[in-house]
Parts: sequence; structure tokens; C-alpha cells
Amino acid sequence: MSEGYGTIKIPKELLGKIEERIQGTEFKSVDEYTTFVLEEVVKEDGEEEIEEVFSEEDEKKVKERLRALGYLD
Amino acid sequence: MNNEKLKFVIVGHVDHGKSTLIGRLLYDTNSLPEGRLEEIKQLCESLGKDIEFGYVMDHLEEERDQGITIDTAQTFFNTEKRDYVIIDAPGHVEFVKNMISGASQAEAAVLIVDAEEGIKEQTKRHAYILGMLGLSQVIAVINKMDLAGYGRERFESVKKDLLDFLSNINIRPSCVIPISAKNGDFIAGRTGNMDWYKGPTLLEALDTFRTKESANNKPLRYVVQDVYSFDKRIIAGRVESGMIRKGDKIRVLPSGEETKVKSVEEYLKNVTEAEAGKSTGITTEDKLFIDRGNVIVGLDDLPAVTNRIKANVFWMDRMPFKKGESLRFRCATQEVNCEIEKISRVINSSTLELIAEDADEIKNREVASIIIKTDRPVVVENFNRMEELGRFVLGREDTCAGGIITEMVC
Amino acid sequence: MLIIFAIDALEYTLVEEFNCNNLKQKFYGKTNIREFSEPKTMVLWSSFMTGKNMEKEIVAKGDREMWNTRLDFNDTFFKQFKNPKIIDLPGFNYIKEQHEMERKLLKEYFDAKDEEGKKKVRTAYNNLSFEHHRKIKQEFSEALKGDYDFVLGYFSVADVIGHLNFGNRTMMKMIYRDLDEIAGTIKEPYIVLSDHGMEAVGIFGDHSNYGFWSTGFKDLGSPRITDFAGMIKGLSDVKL
Repeated sequence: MSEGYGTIKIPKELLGKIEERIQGTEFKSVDEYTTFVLEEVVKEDGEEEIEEVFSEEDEKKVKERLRALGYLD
Repeated sequence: MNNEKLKFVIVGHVDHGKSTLIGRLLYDTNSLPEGRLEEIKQLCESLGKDIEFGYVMDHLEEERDQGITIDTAQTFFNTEKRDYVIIDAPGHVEFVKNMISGASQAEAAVLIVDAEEGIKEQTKRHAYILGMLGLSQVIAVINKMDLAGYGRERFESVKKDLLDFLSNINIRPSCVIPISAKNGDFIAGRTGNMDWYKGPTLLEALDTFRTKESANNKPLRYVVQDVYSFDKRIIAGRVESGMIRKGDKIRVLPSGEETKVKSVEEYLKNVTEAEAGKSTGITTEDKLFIDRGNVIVGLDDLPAVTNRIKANVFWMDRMPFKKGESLRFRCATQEVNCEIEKISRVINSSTLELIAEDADEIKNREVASIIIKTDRPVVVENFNRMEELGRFVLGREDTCAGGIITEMVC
Repeated sequence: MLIIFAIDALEYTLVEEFNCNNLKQKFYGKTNIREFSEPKTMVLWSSFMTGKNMEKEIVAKGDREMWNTRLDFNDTFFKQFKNPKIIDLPGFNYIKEQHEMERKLLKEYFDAKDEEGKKKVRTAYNNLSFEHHRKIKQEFSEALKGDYDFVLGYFSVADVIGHLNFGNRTMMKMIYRDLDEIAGTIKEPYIVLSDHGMEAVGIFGDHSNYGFWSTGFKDLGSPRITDFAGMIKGLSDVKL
């Protein structure tokens, strides 16, 4: 493995299934395919985090506005 | 259950109940996204109203308004017979563009008309675009029959007007059904509100539509991509439809010369045939002059070889087309120069209004009916008969327009 | 009968987006409320009724007391009518218990510690607002059949729901369509007016700094909310 990469272990059966799956696709290796899939999964988690932060900010902002408009003490 | 999928489109005037019909179809086939119906039901109750199915489709409308492509704006439901996909309706520029360039490929249409209002301008325009897009399987529904008192006389009157108009543009609906999308009459079931109507429900009528014939069962069309000479002379190409087998008698178009398939060649594999969708190579018994762009066919059921074609095109380039300009015509692997001899009609693809007849130019996002003259004969098909050779593009350096062939011109 | 369909927080851009043709009528546009430092509901409707900028006077009462404002009939333009009917108008005959409860739940929402808690409160808040809306709809519909020469129906649903649900497009669309349907039932000449509009802050809604107006008989341009008192006198003097 080159620098910047770690090693993970997956069951041989899963390895075989992935090898079959990538036949005829643009993925050149199991490494490439697995990296792609996991990147997508991890990205989703991150996105969710970002959404939560926005919503807290929004809430804060609107609370201030509602106070200014006299709805909240 | 049969897993064939039928893609269809619902068209007609914007206020005639399209959204409610879609919502109703989903509801009656238990295909609503989880929680969606409950959400709408609760909101309707909160406002003191009966449930309105029209709101069910809101999230799809939102996607469309945000410019997400038509491919994601699909709605799925199924009957016992098959799966259905509702593709968004004409009037949306992307839809028209995709239909003509073949991406979304609706195979059938439901044309909706309000029983009280009757045929409106938009009804006509949508029907016209169905014809232009090569959609020949059509069901007409006359909606809001509840507001028209479920009256037979009104239904028959609107039906007559509709059929009269449609016959002028060569559309023959398989049936005309009186419905109420709001109350569910004749969508999935018979409610007893219109006992005088003895025909099928909308779902029953949809079940009678044909899905596209499997390409394997169609006549052979082998489109030549290249010719290689190694130890043997291999004609590389793609089986657009039908099957090519060792021993088949074949004809090469446009020259018309005949020979036999000596072998089917696939890298490192031992094969004797190739089916539709496959890219492969063949060798022939006789050494004929074969070139990229040629089409190899069987001896029966031949395509047209012509240099004058009637077609409908969707112009997609910022630079308008002006009559007199020479363009490149590309169909399968054929590539020739062409001229547009006549621009019979030009339509605005989003409003579907007629812009001009016998025009001199076609602008970006306009749909036009035209006559093309190619500088050499090309091998083509009527799009309705066979899409694979019925679809083409026109271009300068880049593609400027996608089109479908409607007729050969003598 | 002259009718004013007063809709709190009716947003110009959504009236257009949702194709609310009965709300748009023949002439429609934005009102000018720039003279006010904040688009406060009580201030705007009080100024509307009196034809004067009431900001200083109302704000001086403080945020709590402001909501209890009840202007004298003779200080409003309603006095020019023989038999006027006003429903739930802020600053005039605002239904105190109802709107106090709304504000209480609004506060509870922001005080709730977790998503589950917030969801519960929002549901209660929405239900309260919708229930009131159904009542006002009924009252307005009956008033239109009555023997009045002036009817003003004030609808708070778009504002109340909007504050916590503006990002729920389906909900907002259904509300706007419902309001449009109500407008569709009005047979006499009517004016649609909002104090301010609404703009999104995430899923929430804040007041925008312009209101909405429409009529079926005159283009009003870009009127100030204080212009209406004088305008309506002119309209009621002329047979519509």
C-alpha cells in the first residue's frame, strides 16, 4: 500500500462478490470500488452534520427576530 | 407478475386535474410514498376540507421547479399486470427535449379534459405534441364528471369534440373514459355513479397498452462502426435490433449487395450469434465493400433507403438555424451532410404555442416539423416503427438538434 | 358591501408562485411599509385602521401590552360605515385568548430541549392555528351573507403557521390555495391586504418588509398601509 492508505480486512466471500460485481464496469479493482462506496456513505454522515448546524443557526436567528417583532419575551 | 414496465405521460390543460389524477392513481394502487397520504389528509382536515389528491405530487413539482432533470421526476405504481412509470408531461422543456432525443421514451399517453370546460387551447397543443413526439398509444379521459352531474349527454358532447379534433391530427385514442379523479370514479374501480358507461376503467385501459416489443424480436439492424483487417476482415458494429447469427443471409445497405454471415467474432469467446444491444464483429462469405455507416439487415422487412425525410426536431443550440445552412445529419453511425428543405411548423416547446408556419428559422428550445434532404441516401426508419434508426441528430461542430423521423418523402 | 380580506403575512411571491388568481384579482402589488422600523403586526394594522403611523404609540406600551391594544371605533375609518363587521382584527377586536395561547406555544417550542419535544409543541401550535382558521372561515362566510355595508375578515393562519413551518412547502401551498378559494367565494368588490409578507429562515418564517394588496377595480401602485383609510373613504363614497 502506498503512503496515505491504510489496510482493511473484509471477508473473502464479500471480496469475491465485489470482484464479480465490478466486471465490465469502470472500476479497475476491488480497492477502487470499495473506496468509492465508502466515500459516499461517509459523505452522507457529514452532510447530515452540516444540516443540523444550519438548523440550529436558523432557530437562533428566527428566535431573535420573533423577539424583535414582539412575539417572544 | 409480469415485470415489463410501461412508461406513460399525462397531458392536457393545467387546470383539468392532472395532479389529482396522478395522486388518485397512486392512492388506488397503494403506491403512495409512506406517510405522504397521511400528511395530506391531516392538512386537508386542518383546513376543513375533504382530502385532495392533487397535493400528493407536490414534492415532484418542487423538484421540477428546481430544475432537476426529468429522469428523477418519475412516479411509479403497478397493477397486477405490470409496473407503470408516469413521466412528467409535455410543456416542460426538458421533457420535450428528452422525448425527441430518446432519453425518457414515454410509450403511451393519457390526455385529460375537464368535462365542464371541454377542450381548451392547451389540450389541443398537448395533443399535437403527442403526435409530433411519435406517441400513438393514447387514452382520453374526461375528468370532473362529478361537477358535471355525472351526465352522459355532457360526456358524449365533449367526447365528440375531442375525437373530431384528434382525428385531424391522426390520433386515435384506444378509448375515451368518463372519470372523476377526485372521487375515484373509473380510475381503478366502478363506483356506480355512471352506470351508463360500459367501457374499461383507466387502469384496465392502461393494462391493454403494448410495451415496446423486445428489440430481439424486431428485424435485424446491424450498424457498422468500423472494418478491421487482421488475419480476417472483421466488420465491427452494434446490433441495434434483432439478432445476427452465423449463416444468416444478409443485405448491406445502402448498396443493396447480398452475402452471408460467415462468423460472429467476439474477443476470446466462441460465439455464433449476437443479440440486440450487443457490440460485436462479423465476417462475411463474400468480400463486399462495407464501410462505417452502412447498415446490415436481413432479406425481409427492410428499412427505408432515402435522401428525403420528414422529421420533428428539437433545436438545442443558442445559434438559431437559418434556412439555407448546411448541417451534419447523424443517425446511428451514418454521417452525411444535409439541408433543411422546408420548415413546416415551429412550436414553442414550453407553451406549445405555434410560432410560425413555413418558417425560415428555428431558435433555441423550439420544436419544428421539417423536411430534410441528405446529400447521400441514408438508411432510416419511421421512429414509431423502430426507434433505433428513427432517431437522429443534426449538428454543426457540436450537436444542435435531436430529432425523430415521422415519414419518408418520395 | 365593501369587503376587506385581511391576511396576515400574505407573501407576494407565494401568491404568484402558487397561482392564486382570486387573491391576485385584476390589480395587485406590494405595499410600502418602509416608514416603520420593524414590520410589527399590531403597529401595522393599527396604522391601517387610523390612517396614521402608530408605531411610537404602540411600541411604547411594551411587547406584552402591545397585544392588548384596542383602538376606539371613532379613531378608525370604520366609523364612516353604517353597519360594519370586523372579525378578529389586531388592535381592534383581536381575540386575546386565542393569540395569547399561540404565543405561549411559540415560546414553548423554542424552550423545548429536544426534537421530539419540539415536534409535539409544533403539532399543538399548528392544530390551534388551524382550528381558529376554520372558525374564522365560518364567521367570515356568514358575515358575507349578512346585512353589512362593510366586512373585514382578518386571517392569521399564514402568519402563525408560517413562523414555524414556512419551509414546509406543501403546507404553505395548501394554506394559500385555501385562502384563494375563500377569495373565490366573495361575490362583492373586495380588497386583499396583508400587513407584511414572509421570508424563509431555514424552515422558519420571518416578516418581510413589504405587504400585499389587490383589488378588482383600481391599480393602487405602491400604496403605504396608512393610505388605505383615506382611500376606502373615497371608494365607499362612490358606488362600486
